[in-house]
Amino acid sequence: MGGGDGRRGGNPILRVALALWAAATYAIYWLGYLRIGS
Amino acid sequence: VIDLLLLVPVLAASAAAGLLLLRLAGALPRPPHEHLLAGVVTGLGLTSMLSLGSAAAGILSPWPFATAAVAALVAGGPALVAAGRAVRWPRTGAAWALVAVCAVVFLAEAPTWFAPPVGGDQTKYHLAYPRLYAQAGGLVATPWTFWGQQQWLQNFLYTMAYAVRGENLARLMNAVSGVLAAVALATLVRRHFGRSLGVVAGALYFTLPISWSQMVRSGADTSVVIYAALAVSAWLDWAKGQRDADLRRAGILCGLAGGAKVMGLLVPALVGIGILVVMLRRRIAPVRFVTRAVVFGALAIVMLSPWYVRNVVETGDPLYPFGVKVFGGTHWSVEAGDYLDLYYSQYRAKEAAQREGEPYAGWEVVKFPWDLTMHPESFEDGKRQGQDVSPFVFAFLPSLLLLRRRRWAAVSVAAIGIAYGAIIAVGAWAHPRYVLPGVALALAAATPAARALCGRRVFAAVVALTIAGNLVLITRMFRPMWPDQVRVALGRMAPDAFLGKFADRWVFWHQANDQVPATGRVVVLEKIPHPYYIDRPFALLSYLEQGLVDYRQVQTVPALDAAIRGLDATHVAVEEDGLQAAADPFEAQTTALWRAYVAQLGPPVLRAGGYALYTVPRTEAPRG
Repeated sequence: MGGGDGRRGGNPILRVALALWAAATYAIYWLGYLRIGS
Repeated sequence: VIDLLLLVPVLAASAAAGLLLLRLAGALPRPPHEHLLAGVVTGLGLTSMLSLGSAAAGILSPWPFATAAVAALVAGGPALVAAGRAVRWPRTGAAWALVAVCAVVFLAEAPTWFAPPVGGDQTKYHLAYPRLYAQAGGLVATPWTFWGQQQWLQNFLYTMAYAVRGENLARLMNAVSGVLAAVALATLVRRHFGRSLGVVAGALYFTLPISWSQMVRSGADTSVVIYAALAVSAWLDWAKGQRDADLRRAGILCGLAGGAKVMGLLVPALVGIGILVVMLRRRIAPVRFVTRAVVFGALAIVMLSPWYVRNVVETGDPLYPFGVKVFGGTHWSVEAGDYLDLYYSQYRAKEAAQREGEPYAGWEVVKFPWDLTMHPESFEDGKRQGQDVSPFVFAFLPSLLLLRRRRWAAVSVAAIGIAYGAIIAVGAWAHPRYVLPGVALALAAATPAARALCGRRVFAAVVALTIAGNLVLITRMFRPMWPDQVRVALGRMAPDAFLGKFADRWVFWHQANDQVPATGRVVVLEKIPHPYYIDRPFALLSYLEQGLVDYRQVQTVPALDAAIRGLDATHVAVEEDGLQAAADPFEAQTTALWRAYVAQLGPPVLRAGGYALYTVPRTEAPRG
């Protein structure tokens, strides 16, 4: 699954922030489903 | 099986016709392996136009389609074969694994197309009016509802399907659009963001829980996704290579997007802006600037116009009833439009309460992407997963910041997608289904962004987890109907037994159709009627949807009685719970009138499924 832009680079702080954003989004999304139990 | 067999010539002839048009217009994509998809989607647009034309001419039957299909296959057969041979299939095991997952979802969806339609807007208008037109052999005037005027590209494909075969083929046409939407997105991503990412984007879209909802209920939203994705792809091709054929194709596909739904008009508008931006950046000479803008605009207008022209001819308003303040229009009024807006705001408030919120006002609409991801149930009746767009776009769209090589293209696609969603959220209705084309484009842009953030292995894991999550949520939509849909599809359950179990309206109409003679006419007093199961001549007298009987003028029992007799009605059907509705003064006034009217009709001749059927007495017949 290559994409051409996959090489690690750019601002490491930005990269960490974006990774945290993505992880938090997935976590909150699934916690929502667990909470409503549907 | 016959429906599936019929689908082959429908798609083949459409593709042949589409390829002919694209060749005639000099608008084929440069890569031969993209010809087939461009041909199919353009051809389906032409098939819809033929269906509309046949209906308008009153010659709706299998023959116009058969004749056109033979002509298209004779003239465009060689091009179709060449386009078919040039198709480039996935090359890696991972890509085939994703295709296999989509195939499993597709197979799980398949039984739903062979059981009668239940639920959603399909029985309200997406399938109801196409079936009516096919039964009548042409367009039918339905001045008592505006839904007859909300019949677009996809709806006239349904009309063709009913005229050629029937309900199952119509629902297969919806499934075809859902698959084509995923393939179109995959094509956009493969062409502009990386070969191996195309299948990923297609699979992420196709396995979305909201995509399941769109696949199992017939609608018009996925066709906008098809044309938007391919129009944007053509625009990017043109921006990169300045090849006029790509500009012309962008115009054709933008036009079809505009013909797919009123909101789809945003596609030609936004891509048109994109074309102007590219030309300004490239400092194109004034004459060429104007020529290109005119070519794009003219092609788009020609391709989108048939469905709007029909509305102008029949009502005076191309957007009927939504353009009433600009165009006027028969059987509608500004007051009726305002009341419809009030109803929609009531609906939005009721649903927003599910997220403990209120409908967006002003800048609050910036919360929409969050609510769309985390609380999709707060926009429409139904479970959360029914409108779910997965967390992928919200999680990874910001990672566009990491892109380097393809940043311009990805940001452009994201910008068009976000603009589409934002304009609808601010100007019309922030609703998952309405912004689906915008979400799809944003998903396309988020795919290379996620790849750039995650690296190869983590990206593969994220894609796998996202799709697995989508599949888990899809399985939670199986209940209550899917097991019985499978039984109907396999012939182990009668369609009537299925309808009797899940469709209260059918329970009533199945019996009411026997009570009303073939020469009779039934008037329906219901706020939101779904007329699909009515087999007798009917008129809908909702106070929400119509202007033929205007309850601002008709306020007494004798006046309503005269109006109903004026429609030559022999029977009146009433949704009994709806008689008590009183959410606002106008509703309270109208349902009180209905109660008083029904009370003087005597006892009902039928009561079932929450509905009652009355006969209109013949003795008091102040006709005329």
